[in-house]
Parts: sequence; C-alpha cells; structure tokens
Amino acid sequence: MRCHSFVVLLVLTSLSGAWGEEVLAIKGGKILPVSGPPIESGVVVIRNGKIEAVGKDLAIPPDARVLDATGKVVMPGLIEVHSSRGMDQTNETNPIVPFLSVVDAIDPSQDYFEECRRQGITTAAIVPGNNTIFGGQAAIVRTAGQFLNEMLLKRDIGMKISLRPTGDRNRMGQVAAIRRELDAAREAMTERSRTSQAQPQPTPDAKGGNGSGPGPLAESDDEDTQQRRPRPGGGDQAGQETNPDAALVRAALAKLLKGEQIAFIYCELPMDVPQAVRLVKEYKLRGVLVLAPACHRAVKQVAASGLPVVLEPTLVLWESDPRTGEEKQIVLPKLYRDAGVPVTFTVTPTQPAGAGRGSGSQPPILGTNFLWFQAATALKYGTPYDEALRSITLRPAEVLGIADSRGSLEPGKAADVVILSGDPLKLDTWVETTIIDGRVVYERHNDRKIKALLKPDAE
Amino acid sequence: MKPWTDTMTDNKNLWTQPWRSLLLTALVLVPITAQAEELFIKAGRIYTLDGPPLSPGVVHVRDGKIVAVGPDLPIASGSRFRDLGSGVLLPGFIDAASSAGLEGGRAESTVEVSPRLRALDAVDPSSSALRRLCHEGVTTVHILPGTDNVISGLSCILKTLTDRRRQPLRADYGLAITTSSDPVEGNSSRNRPDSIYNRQPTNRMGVVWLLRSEFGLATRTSTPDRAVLREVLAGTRPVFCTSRLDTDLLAALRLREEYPMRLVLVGGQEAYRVREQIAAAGVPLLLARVSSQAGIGPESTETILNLPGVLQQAGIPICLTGGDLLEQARWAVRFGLPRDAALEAITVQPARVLQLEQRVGRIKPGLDADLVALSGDPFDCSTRILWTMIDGIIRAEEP
Repeated sequence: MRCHSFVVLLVLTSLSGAWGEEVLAIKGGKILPVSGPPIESGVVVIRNGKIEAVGKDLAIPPDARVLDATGKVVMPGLIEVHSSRGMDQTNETNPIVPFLSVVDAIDPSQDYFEECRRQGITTAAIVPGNNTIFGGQAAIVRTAGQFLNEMLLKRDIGMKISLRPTGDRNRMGQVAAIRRELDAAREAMTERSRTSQAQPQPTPDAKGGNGSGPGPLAESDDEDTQQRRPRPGGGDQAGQETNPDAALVRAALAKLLKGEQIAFIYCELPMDVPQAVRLVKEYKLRGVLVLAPACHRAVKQVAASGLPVVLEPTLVLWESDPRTGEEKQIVLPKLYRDAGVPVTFTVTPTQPAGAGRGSGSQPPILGTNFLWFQAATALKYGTPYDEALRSITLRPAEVLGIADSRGSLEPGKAADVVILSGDPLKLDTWVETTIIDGRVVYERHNDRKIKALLKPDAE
Repeated sequence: MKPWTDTMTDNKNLWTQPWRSLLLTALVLVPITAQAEELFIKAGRIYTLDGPPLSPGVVHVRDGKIVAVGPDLPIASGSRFRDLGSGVLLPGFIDAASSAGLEGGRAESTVEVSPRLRALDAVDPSSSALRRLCHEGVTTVHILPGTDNVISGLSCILKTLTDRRRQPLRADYGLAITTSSDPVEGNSSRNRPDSIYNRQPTNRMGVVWLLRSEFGLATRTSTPDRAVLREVLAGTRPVFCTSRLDTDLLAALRLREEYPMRLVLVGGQEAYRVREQIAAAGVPLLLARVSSQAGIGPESTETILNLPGVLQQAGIPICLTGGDLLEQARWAVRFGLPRDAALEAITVQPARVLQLEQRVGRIKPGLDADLVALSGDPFDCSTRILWTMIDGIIRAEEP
C-alpha cells in the first residue's frame, strides 16, 4: 500500500511539470517516420518536446537520456481522428447545442485515455454528440495529463452534424432543423456585415424591422439584440417560440459557415451521403464525412465529393441478397481504396450500445478496439503497408489540420513517439513506450493493469 | 423458416409428378458426381491436428471423406488437383456453442423447465448466420437453445452448409441448462402468489434449486420430460450448463457431484477464479466469445484478457466458441495461449467434447473432408480464409 501511494506521488510529480523538458535520444530501433522511408537502426533526438533530428548515425547529445530501442520499432504516435469517448458525461439529449464545448466534459482520468496510451495513440479529437443535431465544440487533446490544460492542444476545432434522425424526428425533420439553424446563422452574419458596412452606429428597426445593437460587439457578434424577433435556434420543443440560446447557437454556427471549423457530418445510411455533400457545397463547410458501414453503397458520391472520410469500427461486414440468399462480404478499406477514397479510422462506435439495426447481431470482434488493427485490416485486404500506416498517423493529422506539427517523425514536429516490440501491424506486437511531446507517458513494464489482465495472480 | 426436408416436396400442387422427379434426379445427381471425384489438395503447410504439421503436404479426398494425408502422395491420373502454393490447410473449425440459425426466439421463456424442446425444430438451415459461419471456416456447429429458462432443451449438431437431404450430425444431442441469472430476469415475487404472472425462479438460488429438484424428481418418477433427465443421470446424454460467474460455475460443479452427469460448462468468463476446481473435476469448458468491451461480459462479469491461456495452463480442456473462431484463436495467442492449443481449441478439442472425434476435427483418413484453406500462417492477422470445404465440397470461397 505504501509502495502504491509512492508510485502515485511519483506519477503526480512527474506529470505536473511542463511538457518534455528533457533531452531524449531513441537509438537502435527501426524507425518508421511515415513521411519517408524506414531507417534501420536509426536515432531520434528529442529536445524540449520537439523532434530535433531523425536519421542514421546521428551524434547523440551528451546531455540526452538514451532509450535503447535495439530490435524494436519506432514510429509516430497514432492519432484518433474522431472519438466520442473520454467525457465524464456525454450530451446525447439536447439536440442543438453547437455552443457547448467538450473541454468542459473531458475527464482526464477516463479509462479511454489510459487505453490510448497503451495502444500508442498520442492525439485524439474528441467530438461530442452523435444522437444530436449540432453536438458541441470538439477539441484535439493529448492522451495524457492530470488536468485538461495539460492535455489540450486545440479547442473549438469543429462540431458534429448528425444526419441520423434524433429524438422523434424523421429524416426530413432532421435535415430541416440543420438547414433552419444554418440559414439563421448565415442570415445573421450577412445582416451584421450589411449593418456594419452601412454605418458604424446603426439605428434600431432599420432593415427588416430587426433591432441591432449599439455598435458591433467584439465577441458576441451582436446577436443578443436580435432575440426580439422569434427566431429558430434550438427552439425545437413545440410551443416554445424563443430560445435563450439562439444567439449562442448562431454565433457558434457562424464559425462553421466561415470555414474556421470542421463539420464532422455523420452519415448513417447511403442516402445521407449526397445530403451531406449538398450541405457542404451550399454552406461552404469544411466537411469531414463520418460514415457508418452501410454508406459504402454511396462510395461513388463519396469519391466525387473529395471530402475526407472517417470509417466506423466495423470494417468487414456481410450482406445477404434478399432474393438469392447469397452472402457477400464487404471489405470497407478495399472498397474505398478501389474507388480512390483515402480513409481514416476510429475505434469508437458512433452507434450507442445495443442500438444496432439487426437484432441479435454479435458484438464486434476484439480487434475493432484497436486503431492499429484497423490499419492491419486494411493491409490484409490489399492496402499497401505505407498507406495503412499513414491512415492512422499522418492522414488523421491532415484531416484535423495539425499535420504541420504531428503525424510523422520529422525535425521540428512535436515528439509524439511510440516504441513497439515489433512491426506495428502484427498481432504479437506490443507498445513498449509511448512518448507525448517528449515525455514518456506509458511504459509497458510498469503497466499493472495489463499484467493483471494477463496473469490473474500477478499481484 | 424452411423445413429440413427438401422444400419442393411441400409444393405438390405446383409440381406435376414428371417435373418433380426430373428436378429431384437433377438435384441428386449434381452433388454425387461432384463427390465421386478424386481430389488432391496440396498445401505449403497442413496442420492435421493428428501429429506434427506437414510442410508441404497433400490431402486425398474421395466421396466427401479424407482418404490419405502425407507429405507427398502420388496423384492419380484423371483426378482433380488443387495446389494452394504456400497456403495452409486446417481441419474445418467446430463452433461448440452457437445460436446460429435459431430463428424466432431461443428458448421457451414461459416455463422454467422444457427438456424436450428441440433446437433443431427452430433451425433454419439456409439462415445467413450459418452461411457466414461457413465463410469464417466453421464446418460443424453445435446449436444450443437459449438460457431464458432453467432447463431449456436439446441441442443439435450440424454441418454449417450442406446438402439439405443429409441428416444432421446429431438431431437431439445435449441438454442445455443454466446456473446463471438469465432465467430470473423479469421474474418478480411482488405479484400475488396465486397470480398466473408469477414465475419462478426469482433469484440465483432459485435457479439451482429448480435444477436440483427436477433432477431429484427424475430419479423417482417418470414422465416424458423426466425421461430426458434420466438419460442425463444415466450418463448417456451430456449436459451443457451456461455459467459465467465464479459462483455459478461452482454451483454447476456441486450439482454434478450430487447428480453424476457428463457436464460441459459454457460461458466461463470468470472461470479463472475457480480454475483449480474445474480442472480437478475434469470438466471441459466452452469459452464464450470475448466481447469488444474488454473486461466486461454479460452479467457484468469481470473477465481477463488471457482467460484461454490461464485455463489451458490449469489443465482445463477449452474450446473457443461463438463465431469468428480463427480471429478469437489469434487474440488468445496474443494474450498467452500457445499456438497449438489455440488450434486445438477450435478443431479437435470441440470434436472431443461433442463426441465426434471419429467424424470431424482432424485431417485424418476416414474422417469427413471438412477443410479450411488459408492464404498463410493462421496466426498472422493479415492471413485470409480462401475457402471452406464441407464433406468434400467447397461451400464458401473468397470472392
């Protein structure tokens, strides 16, 4: 017991400092930089949380702590491009809440983050809401830290727009609600720019009988004054004409309309895909398609849209022809690759537990819990090795707009590094060490939980 | 749901006699000519499960049976020959605890005891679940009725895809019972005692008490239902008992001490906690599939990643069940089960437990030609299943 609290204290003190002050050198391992060809027995030098150098026969700085990775594999930390875990409570009830921020709900002590470090996932985008219309502001976080400020990389990066009907809506109602809110936000934006162009001190009840505030406010986009007229905005419940959150909704959606944020558009059925593409075009959104397995039928539309794609955990499925009874195996990574669509993966099911369409369907196999396994499945069905590796590192970084600082082992990038016992896409490989911003956040030989799960009497 | 007999015989009014007989002969002829052929399959490696693997090796198949296996067999002229190159050949997998193909409810939940309920009566042989199993390399499947009541009925054993006119391997095989809390679900003691809505049991003890009293009554009185239980007590009919928690596993072992029976445990998520007791009893265990929600199973069981490895090391005969068998075997190996034990757990071990060792589970002369061809090492997660052969006919093939 005393020993245990000592360990906790040690962890606390080691984590409370700033990220990666140390100089680290990882030597001897096979380096998979993702951005370039593999380097046999290379060296990665890390200083102040950043990668200083990657290469063969590099001089190791005298002040460096050396991590011997001989016989091991060194690669960039994995990136989960879209996750709805890691929150202490998810909002899946209030449908139109684009102004909520996931940073207020992220719980650093969640098992999810521990599991991420164990898997070598160093960065994750936490995107709230899937049973909502506008789910709330997403954030990119490191997967280690005592408190959120240590974890947070970038807040308010985007939000989820779900095309799956929520509550008692049907698809028409869902899309109408999305459009109503986006239209209202766009109208407010154009009105504001019109009034600000016309004169710095607009008179009340000038155009369209719409009151505008005393001068443009810095932050609030002078939305508060527009509440006099009944407006849509989360005003979902019958009989409720005004919503106190309407101004907040419009302000939040304005960022989406300006293209400052990513719109993660969830498509449940193939028919949702063209709808999503229409929304992206009409509202000039920076769209990312989050696709349920059934959406493979719309693969041509996905390919034509050129939008980035996130695939749900189930990558291999069976479909039976209702007339012939013939079983057909659908392999999503292969199908999208054949259509020329680059994909990224998530290990977080977007379907709430037990909400599967086919009753009695079995839980997915264990592998879908692991990001590397998704890439291995792509490899199994014909994706080239480099491409498979890229789909869990550099590509998600590109989708999230953080490829300048993460996703590969290159000088100047953040030192998110994973040391593995072998080939990252093999079943008998284990993550030995996970490093985030130059700091060791996971070591397998100290992982008490995995020991207990492998040997029940280990304690 | 389609009956077991050929569907066409039901539609007498639709088919005139000459048409029918013509069609039937056509149907009969096709498979027979296919089976009568001599077939040789060469593979880079053959895991016979009947000795060390052969690399390379050749299997000789005739009339749906394995005729010979060896590193190099003379290939008879005029026979068909399939060369898998560096591919690997395994015996067809056996899923020893499945609900695949059971249509329209898995148990009679209105009564607590229904020993004569037959799984076979509800199995749709053309169900997509059975076809998918076949695509996953499963050639033999043991279908158990569900656990919604205490004694739920008789299981059956089938080939996953086969000629409709073939008889099932075992029509009424084992008796399915449970010592879990499943039959308790929805029952409550709040109603008036004389209410027809009152159902027993209402707790775990009640489940075991019902089992005990039913077996006790079977020793003294005889009804058709109890005749089944008598067969169990005589040792001629095995019992498949679903138990997940350590307490439930122990309860099943106690029942077996009181009423000697050929017991097979099913589920076993917490078996690692009572592995010494299970091993001492010599009872085999059909392990339920590990869910993707690691650590939490049904009834909130606390399971461990290396459950198969720990149980195997304790000396318990284990089988992996519940679909995706090769995938399950791979993960079991990752977490600590030896490779040969993992292969046994999806082939020869379930064949032993189901008393079908002389029919399936190994690549051995005289046994059914149930084979699975793989593109490479069975434990590499990028290895694909190329085809599945049942009784000498390839029933599922990679597109």
